[in-house]
Amino acid sequence: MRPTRRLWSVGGLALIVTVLAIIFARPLLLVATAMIGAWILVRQYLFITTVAETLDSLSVTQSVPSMAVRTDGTTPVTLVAERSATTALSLTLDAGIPTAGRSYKPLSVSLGPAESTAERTEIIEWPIAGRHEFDEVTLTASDGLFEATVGVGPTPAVTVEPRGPRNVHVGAGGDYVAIAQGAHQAGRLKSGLEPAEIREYVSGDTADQIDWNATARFATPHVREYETETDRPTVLVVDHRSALTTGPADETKLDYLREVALGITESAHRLDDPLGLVTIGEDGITNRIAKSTTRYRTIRRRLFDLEATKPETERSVSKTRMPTRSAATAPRSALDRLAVDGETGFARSLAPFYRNRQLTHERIDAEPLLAGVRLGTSRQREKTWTVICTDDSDPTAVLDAVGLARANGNDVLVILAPTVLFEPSGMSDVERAYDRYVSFETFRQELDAIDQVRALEVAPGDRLATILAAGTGRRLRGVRQ
Amino acid sequence: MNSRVDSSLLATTEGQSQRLETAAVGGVFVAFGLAAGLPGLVVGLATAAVWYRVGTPYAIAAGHVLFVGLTPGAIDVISVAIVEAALLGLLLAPAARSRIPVRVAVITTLVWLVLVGLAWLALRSQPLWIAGAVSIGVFALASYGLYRYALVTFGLIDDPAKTPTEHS
Repeated sequence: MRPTRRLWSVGGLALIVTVLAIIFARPLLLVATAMIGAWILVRQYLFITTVAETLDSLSVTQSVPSMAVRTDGTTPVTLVAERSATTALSLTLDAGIPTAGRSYKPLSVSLGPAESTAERTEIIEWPIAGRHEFDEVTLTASDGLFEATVGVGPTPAVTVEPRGPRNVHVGAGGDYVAIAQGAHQAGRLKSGLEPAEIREYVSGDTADQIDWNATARFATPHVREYETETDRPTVLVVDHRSALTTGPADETKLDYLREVALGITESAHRLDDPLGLVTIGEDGITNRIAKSTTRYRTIRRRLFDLEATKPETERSVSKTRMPTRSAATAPRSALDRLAVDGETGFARSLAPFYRNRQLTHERIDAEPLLAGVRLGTSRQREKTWTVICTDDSDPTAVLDAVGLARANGNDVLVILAPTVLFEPSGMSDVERAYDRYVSFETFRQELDAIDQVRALEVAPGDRLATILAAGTGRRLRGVRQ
Repeated sequence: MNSRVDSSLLATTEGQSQRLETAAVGGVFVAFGLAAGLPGLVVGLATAAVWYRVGTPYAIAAGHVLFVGLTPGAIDVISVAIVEAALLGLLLAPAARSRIPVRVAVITTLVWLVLVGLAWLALRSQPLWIAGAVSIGVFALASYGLYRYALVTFGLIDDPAKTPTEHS
C-alpha cells in the first residue's frame, strides 16, 4: 500500500500546522493536527477494508486455450475479471505474462467503480522453449489517496516445445528397435583383459600363456584365453538432397534422419569407436570427415548444419573431389584400349568384365548416394559398419548403395525415412497411406533380408501409429466380411 | 479533474450527503461569526472557500490558522468550543457518503479525541514542541500500524519458512 502525492500533501499540511503551533506557541493548532490526522487514518482504514472486500468478491482468470505450443508459436491469452460486489475503487489488472512470452500490446483490463466485468484477449508469442509459468495477475487498486498492488488469480503454465522431430520412431514394421551400440566383442580369443576360458595346452602355445593354477588343478598343462574387445569403425553416410525436405517445417525427413545420426555419433563417442561422416547433396558429396576418434564434435556440428540442398542452387559448401582413377583402371579407357588391341584372346576375356564395371562406374558417378558410399568405404583395411541414412524415393539407388557398402564384408545399417509418413497430405487418405506404407515395408524387408544388412525405418511415431491402426481396422473388417 | 482532495470511497454521489456537507460548511461560517463577530464571518467565508476549492483537510487547517490569527491573545473557551464543534462537523460530514456512515463517524471522532487527548496530556507536563512531536508521532505510528495490517490482510507478508536460508 502506497500513499499518493495527494495524500503526501495532506500529511505535509498536518506537519506544517504542527510547526506553526510550535513557532507561534498556539496549542490550539494541535487540534487541527489531530483533525487532519484523524481524516487521514480513517480514509486509510476505509481503503484497507474496501480492498479486502474487493479481493474477496473478485474472480480473476488468465486462460490459455492450449497449454503446449512450439517455439515461435502464438497463443491467445484471455484475462477476465469479475467482481460480485461493486465498490467505489478503480481497479487495474495486468496479466502476469512470463518473461519468455512476447506481447505486442500489454494485456490489462480496468474495472471502473460501476463495472463488474472486464475481459481482454491478446496474442502472445513464445520464442523460448521451456515451461513458462504465468505470474499472478497484478491488481492495482486506488481511491485517489492510496494505491495497493496485490497478486491475484491462478498461475497457469505454458509448455513451449522446441521445434524439431518429436516422438522419433526407429524400428521395423512399426516395432521399436534400439540402435544404440553396446560394448562389442571381437568374437576372437586372444590376449586381452577379460578372462574367457581355460583350455588344455596344445603345441604352439607359448609358456607365458600357461595358467599354472589351472595346470595344478587339472594335473595337465592348461592355457587361459582372454576375450579381446575391439573398436567398431563406423561411417555415417547421410543423404541431404532435396527429396529429404519433405515434411512440416523442422520435422522433415532430414530432421528425423539427423536425430538418428546424432544418436549414433553419441554412441560411437561413448565407446570410442572411430567415426567418419560423408554427407551427400544434390550435386555430390558435401562433407567428408575421415574415420577418427577425435572428431565427434565436428561430426555433430556438421550434422546440425546440414540443410537439404536444391539441384539448381549454387552451394558454397566445397565439394570433396573424388579420387581420380588412373587411365589403366578406368573402365572406359580400358575398354578403348581393349578395342585397339582387337580380337585377341586377352581382350575377349577382359572386355565383358570392363563392360560391366563401366556400367557400375557410370552409375556411381551419376548417383551421389553411390558416390558417397564408395567414398566412405573406399580404402578400408578393416571391417566397417556403414550407416546409410536416406529415404525411399529411389529404391534402386539404395539397393546399389547397400551392395556397394557391404563389399569387403562390411556390416550395413540402412535408416530409411518413408516418404508417406512425411508428406503433409500423406495422411488425408489413410487407407491409401497404409498401402504406400506396406510398399515401403516390403522394400525395407527386402533390404533387411540381405546378408549383413539391417534396414530400419525412422518416422514420426504418432503418424506411424495412425497408419498402423488403419491397417489393423482394415484387417478386422476383412475378417468380419 | 477535481482538485478537492478526498477518497473516491467518499465521493459525492447523492444529493442528501451534499446537502449535509454544505450545511456543515454553513455551520463553520456561522460558528466563526459567533466566536469573532464580523471578522469571524470573513474568516468563515475564507474557510468555506478553501473547503470548496481544495477540500476538508485544507479547510480545517486554514480555519484554525485564521482563527488563531484573529485572536492574538487568550481565546474564550466557549468560542473555541463553538469553532471546534463546527470544524468537527465539517470533518464528519463526508462520513454520510460512506456505506458505513455511523462507524466512520464514530471512528473519526475517537481517533481525533485520542490524538487531541495525547497532545493535551503531553502539554500538561512537557513543552509545546514535545506535545507537537507526540501528535505527529502518534499519528505516524498509527498510520504505520494500519500499513502493516494491510500487508497481512492482503496476504503480502512472505512466509518466513519459504525464505531461503542465507549462507555466510
